[in-house]
Amino acid sequence: MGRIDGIIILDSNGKPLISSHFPLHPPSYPSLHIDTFNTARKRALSENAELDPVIWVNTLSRGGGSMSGAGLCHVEREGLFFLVPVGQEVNPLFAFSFLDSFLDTLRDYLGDITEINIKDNFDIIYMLIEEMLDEGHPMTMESNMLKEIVLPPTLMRKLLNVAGVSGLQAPTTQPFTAPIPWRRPGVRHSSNEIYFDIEESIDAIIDKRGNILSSSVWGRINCNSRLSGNPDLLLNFANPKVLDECAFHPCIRYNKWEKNRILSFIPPDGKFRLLEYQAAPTNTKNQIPLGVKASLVVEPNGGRFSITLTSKLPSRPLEDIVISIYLGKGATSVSATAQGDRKPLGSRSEEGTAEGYVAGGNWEFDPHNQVLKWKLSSLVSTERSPTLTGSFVSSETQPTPSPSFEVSFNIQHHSFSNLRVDQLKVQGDVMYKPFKGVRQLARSGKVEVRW
Amino acid sequence: MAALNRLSQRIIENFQETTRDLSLLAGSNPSSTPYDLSDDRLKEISKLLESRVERERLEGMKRIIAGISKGRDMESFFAQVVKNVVSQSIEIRKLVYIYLLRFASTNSDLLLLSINTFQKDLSDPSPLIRSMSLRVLTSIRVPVIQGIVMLGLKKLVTDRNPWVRKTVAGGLAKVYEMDSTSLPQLIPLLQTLLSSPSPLTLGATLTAFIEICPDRLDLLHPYYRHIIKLLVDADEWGQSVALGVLTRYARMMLEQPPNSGSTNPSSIPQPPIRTENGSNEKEEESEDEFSGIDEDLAMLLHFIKPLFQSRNPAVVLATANAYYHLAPSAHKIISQDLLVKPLLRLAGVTNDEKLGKEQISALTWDVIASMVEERPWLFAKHHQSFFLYTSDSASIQKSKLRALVALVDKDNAQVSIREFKHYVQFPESKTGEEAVKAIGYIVRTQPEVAASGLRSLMRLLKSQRDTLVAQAVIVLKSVILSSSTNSSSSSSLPSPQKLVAKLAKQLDGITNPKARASVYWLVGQFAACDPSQESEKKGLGWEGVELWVPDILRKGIKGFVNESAQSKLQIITLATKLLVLSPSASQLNLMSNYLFSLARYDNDYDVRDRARFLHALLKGVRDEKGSATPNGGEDEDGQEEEEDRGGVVLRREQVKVVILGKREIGDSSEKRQASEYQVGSMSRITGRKLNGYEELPEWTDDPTDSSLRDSEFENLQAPTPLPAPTPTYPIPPTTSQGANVIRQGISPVGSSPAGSYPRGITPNLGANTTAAKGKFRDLDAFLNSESESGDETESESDHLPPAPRAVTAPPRSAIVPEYDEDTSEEETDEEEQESESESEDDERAALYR
Repeated sequence: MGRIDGIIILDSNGKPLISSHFPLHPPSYPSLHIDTFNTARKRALSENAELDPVIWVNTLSRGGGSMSGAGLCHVEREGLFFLVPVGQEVNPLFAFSFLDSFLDTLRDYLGDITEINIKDNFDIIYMLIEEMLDEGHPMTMESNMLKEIVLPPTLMRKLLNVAGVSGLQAPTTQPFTAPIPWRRPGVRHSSNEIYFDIEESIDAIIDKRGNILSSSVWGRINCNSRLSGNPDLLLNFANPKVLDECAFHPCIRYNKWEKNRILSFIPPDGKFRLLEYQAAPTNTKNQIPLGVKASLVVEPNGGRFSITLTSKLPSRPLEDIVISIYLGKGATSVSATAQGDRKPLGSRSEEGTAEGYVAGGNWEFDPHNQVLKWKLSSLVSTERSPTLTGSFVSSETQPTPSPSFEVSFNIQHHSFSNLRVDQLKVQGDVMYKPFKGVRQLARSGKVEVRW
Repeated sequence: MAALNRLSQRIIENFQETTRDLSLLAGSNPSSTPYDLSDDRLKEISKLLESRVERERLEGMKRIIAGISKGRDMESFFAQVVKNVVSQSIEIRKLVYIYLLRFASTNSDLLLLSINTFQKDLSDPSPLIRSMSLRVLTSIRVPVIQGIVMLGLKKLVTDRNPWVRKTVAGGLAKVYEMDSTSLPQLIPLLQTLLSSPSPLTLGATLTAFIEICPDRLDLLHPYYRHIIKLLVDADEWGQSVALGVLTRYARMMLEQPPNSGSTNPSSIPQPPIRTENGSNEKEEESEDEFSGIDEDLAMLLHFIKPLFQSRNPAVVLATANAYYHLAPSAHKIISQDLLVKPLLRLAGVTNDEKLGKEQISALTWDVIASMVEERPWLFAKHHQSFFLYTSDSASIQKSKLRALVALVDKDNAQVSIREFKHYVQFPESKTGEEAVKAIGYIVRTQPEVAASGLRSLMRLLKSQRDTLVAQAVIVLKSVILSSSTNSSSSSSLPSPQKLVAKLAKQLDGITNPKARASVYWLVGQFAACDPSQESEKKGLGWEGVELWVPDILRKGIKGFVNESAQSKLQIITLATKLLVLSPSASQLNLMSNYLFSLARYDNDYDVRDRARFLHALLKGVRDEKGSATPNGGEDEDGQEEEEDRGGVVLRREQVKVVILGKREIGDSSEKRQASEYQVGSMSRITGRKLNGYEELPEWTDDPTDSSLRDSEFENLQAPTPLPAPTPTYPIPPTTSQGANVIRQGISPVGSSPAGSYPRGITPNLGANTTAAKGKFRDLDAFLNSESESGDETESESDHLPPAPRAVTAPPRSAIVPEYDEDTSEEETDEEEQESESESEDDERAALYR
């Protein structure tokens, strides 16, 4: 329990880039997993199916006698594949949780996770794996802690290397002595600032008549802390009741929250996710700021559709609106008219890569994956409702388009749940008053409108 | 001069370095990184490793590591690498360690040369070095040095630094693996670690426990409460391990709470449920609330509650698992319901492609679906959360549908069928199929929506999507069969005959071979009509057969040549059935003769075989008919009868039983095979048993005495009952020890400022009730004392009324309105008295046994 076997990173062609040591297994163990994964991936690609999140791999058991197996958990990021074989019974989310924090750490160290970056810093990655995994047991996982042991690659360090100081690190503090696992002692910043990004996304299913069948608002508070010393923060919300189900960063004192609904914590240094929450269900009808009236009629060898959008949000514009629908296998072409307020209308239709540029946004149809997309850069509530009407042709006599339109949008400085930060107090051994920045972003998660 | 040279060299290198960076940024020339090894670069390694310049040795080590990751044989450098163990640079040393860990076991002789260095490092002032050297030492799996390793472990087990102790814990398992006879020496070390006051070591220690002696749960007795208290502050990875251990411990050692496991709370008398108006009220709760539940179990469940709010999905799942397997199904504070919302949050919040955590979401949905199937009432309130999105991944859709089917009940039947109908249209054909099955299920179980479900199933038959049509027919078949077997429940359904008739009408539109075969089979099965309806046919049809049936046979025979093999088989069967039902219809005889001769020369082996078999089976029927009309027999028949002589000839009635007999509804697709693996285990998800999978034990019948868990160690720490508002704040951790008041300042490093101690109620819970409860729960001790003095029964039972009641009443009345309090008090009183008297009775019964 609580053990994974190791970690393997594959490039986009399925060749191993980095593979941790599997001390308890025969040397062929990693390649067995890599092979199984590549075969499964090829099959999934050819069948246009999805890979199961956990793939079963037949292996020889440790003694070598009987056959046993392992679950291979895998994740794809930026075209690279990260595999974690699990040969022993373990909490099913354990491997994926580990992968997640591993990837977060990598991102912290390398910036973007790309093949070049990984090849460039493979020694650091090996050192990281070595610190994070002790024969499959997670060891040191806190990013702040790791940075004391494995120095991140910075230009400064490279220059130092060249100047001959080479690797002789002069760590500011003794590693492994920090009293708080997530914060290095002796942090110093010239300007003391802390930023909170409150990001909310909404999931909703809306039926033909505009009724909301199911909806939920998920939120995250990402934090970027640049505070010196050991500040002890108190974060007050004006309406903490909207936070229904929360997941806290370990730094948050659970007690305080339960009692007073105040977030009390000593933040880690740098970027971290303070809180995830589900907003309490309220009158959700008003929460979805975009009204979509959509209809689609399937006819032999094609169909007709029309979509009308209205903004229900008087204060702010909705941005980056995309309405998309999968038109079913065999859909070959689309002709449509997008109408909006600002410019005179026009329409166009082409075989193949049909695209229309009009004032009411533009639409495009990708004949490879049969998806019709209608994009609008922004929409305000005073505008005349933009519409998209048109028809599509399919080679199937009875096309089976997806039964709902998928809708996505962003709204800056908005919050579905109306969560507001009231004040931030600083206590502890610090004498400064930090600058506090709060930013809100609301976006759609999965919003689907049935026709 | 030399200095000048070096300087110029450095400048050149500096230049190269910067330009390399530039080229890397452009991504044009990655071949110059150490990762890419050409052969000449390999050759340089030896030189680099021997170099005096630290930077070059580092470069050499990097190349070696690169070689390892490319799968080249790097073992030949072992000797040179070992020398670098003494390097001053931590970076080089780390790479050396990585190298050594890989090849240590194969080069033990050379490695022994450097053992001294490691041993010396064990007393290095830097905790990092101590911990690293211990890790390498324990990872060298060479039997010769096990003695040294053991010494090292013993030395560091009392190290001041928790991180070093963590390494020790990791080392225990490695030593055990090398040499399992060392267990007696390891256990004292493990116990020392268990008593460590720092939450940092907890996870590693319990991991070691699992690896070394998972069955020695008795070792944990004195540390049980200690572990629970540290748990909240432990690291995330340790928490999920610890939860597993504690769950197992509770099952083996603690008393099963009433209504635990899969008891539907609605089936037991509900205690008064307080509405969810904020947690502030919880302060009024006291140990009274936990009556009837083993106090140690209550403590566990209460203390792990904060872990539902962990950011780590694995911890949330582990906590949910613990609640699922341990918690009572209805309880004010620690009921199973608590696991529902955190799990749904986990499944929902990660299911967002922009975050890239779909896998976690998919697995969580899978776990939820399994839980719903076992205990649907838990999730009934959250029906909406299960609705499918078209953008969900296929595996999520599958899990959600499983859950939705399990959730179907009277109240949500309408909504469910609407949803299922919608899902049929999903482009993903597997989802569509599952949705069709779901409709079939709801038609069979929920009579009020059955009609609407049937209509949509019928409509599906015309669909072009083959797989859906096939599924629909199969589902209809099972609906028809189940409605014909239990006619009582299907009052709202049309009679099976009508359904089959409708289905048969669609036959021309059905193209899927399996579906067509099913239709033919069904027609045969339900072709018989009531004698009472005979008059309605006005002499048009064949006697004993529904009016529309002959036409189906006609169509079948007409298109016989072009049918698929499985349909052909069913057409022959249909003809046979009709012959049995209506032996006197002359057209039927002609048609079936034609059919049998077609089948006799069919390409398909099975069809020929079946035709021959059925023809022979019908001999008795033909004979009966032949005797009725003496000259009816044809030549061919006559010949065959000659051939078949000697076999048993069945009479018509017998043939009827053979061919039309009711059979079991072979509905394997609908039957949910209950997985043999525990909900929430990896084996459950892969569907196959992984190494180390072990079924969670059943609740023990013989719970251990709670006094076992009182330890002197424990007394040091907890029992000072804290005032409810624990003043853990505002005290910064580094400046004062105040935050650790609870831990009585034992932790030297002030391990965590989180102060995430759940409410103050638990300490007194531990302290107050121990005495009273411990006394009468340990029945053995009780009985023993009984044999000495018989009178004690009375006095013991006098102890029973829970004393704390008086304590709890006043705070509660502070907020609960007067009348409310009265009623609730009375109710609980009565209940408790009942249970008390019951337990008394039990005891008495046991006494007189």
